[in-house]
Amino acid sequence: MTDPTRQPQPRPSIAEIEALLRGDAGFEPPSSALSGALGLRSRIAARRADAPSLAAKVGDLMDLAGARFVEWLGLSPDTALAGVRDDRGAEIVDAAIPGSDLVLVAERSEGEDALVRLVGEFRHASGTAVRGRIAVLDADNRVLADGELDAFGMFSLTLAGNARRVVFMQRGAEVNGAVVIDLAGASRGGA
Amino acid sequence: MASYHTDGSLLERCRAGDPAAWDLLVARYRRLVWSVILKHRLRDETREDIFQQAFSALVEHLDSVREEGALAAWLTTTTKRLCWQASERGRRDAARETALERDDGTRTDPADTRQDDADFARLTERQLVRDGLERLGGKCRELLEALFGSAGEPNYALLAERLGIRVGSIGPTRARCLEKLAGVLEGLGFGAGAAAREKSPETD
Repeated sequence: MTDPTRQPQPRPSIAEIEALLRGDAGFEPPSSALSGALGLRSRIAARRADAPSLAAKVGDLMDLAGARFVEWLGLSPDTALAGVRDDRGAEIVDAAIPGSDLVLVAERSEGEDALVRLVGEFRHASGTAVRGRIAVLDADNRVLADGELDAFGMFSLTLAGNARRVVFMQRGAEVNGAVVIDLAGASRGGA
Repeated sequence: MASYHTDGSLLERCRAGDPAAWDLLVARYRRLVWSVILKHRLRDETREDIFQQAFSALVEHLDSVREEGALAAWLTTTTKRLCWQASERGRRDAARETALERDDGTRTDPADTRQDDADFARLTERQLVRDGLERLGGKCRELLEALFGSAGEPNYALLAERLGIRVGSIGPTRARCLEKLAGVLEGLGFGAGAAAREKSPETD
């Protein structure tokens, strides 16, 4: 059933588009103004450098010694992670973290906007949700993104091109509670 | 169609510290911000200051601009506010504090927002055309920007050589590209703005 209140929108006329295109050059800012705005990129780049070192943050909460180090899609006998690539090109992990009662279920995929995302959940082997903090690190352990797992133990992270590992710190597990997932060697996602 | 990065993805990359994403955002919205500034009576150096202040404000508020599709409106509103503040600072006559003088000499009561609505619709429409061109990408974008982007008649021979087409093909290719652009703009809701303008007077 069509909505009687919805008015059909006219297709833009070529003449109208031409007029807007023709007049648009007049709105080009002077190069001096433009370079000033582009110069703000240094403040953007500084956001990455200003991110506090996770090592320091973890040091406030717990010692990384004793953390579980695992590889994304790794099939080493020392890890329990087993990943598959589905027909959409997404990498899926559904495995227990060795030496803990944690299970990670997550998908790593590249969206239409070219951003690679890691979406999933941590839970106890019993199925109950886990709470804690999760962060994405670069090769120098600088934090690129971080957040809290929600009430269901779920998270959603964007993996920048220089993301190298994901660290999860379980709330309440002050000793040997960190899980470090090494992303090196994994694909960027996609088919 | 060439790959296109949404505002949301560029903002997210900026938050993650990617300066290349910043360059793309500035390139995308530079004319929108400048067109807002041009609507106000300001000295050239003040205009340039405001241009940088508007983008500087975006850097400061990167974490709060999250709604997809809101960035153009945010930049427009922020730039307008900066222009009004600059105008207030330069205003010496207390009697003029109740009115804003427009470039055409008419005065508008700041409480009268009808002109602002029409201006905003026109600014939005222009930005949609820029957005559509960017989404179109490829040779069509290159051709249309070369044909319409500069003052004076373009050099067709050079343009044809750059695009790898015959000079005689420029006309038909131009027509096909404009049709493609019209299709992209229809998908972006450009027609909605045109319909709304038919109901209210246009004063660009």
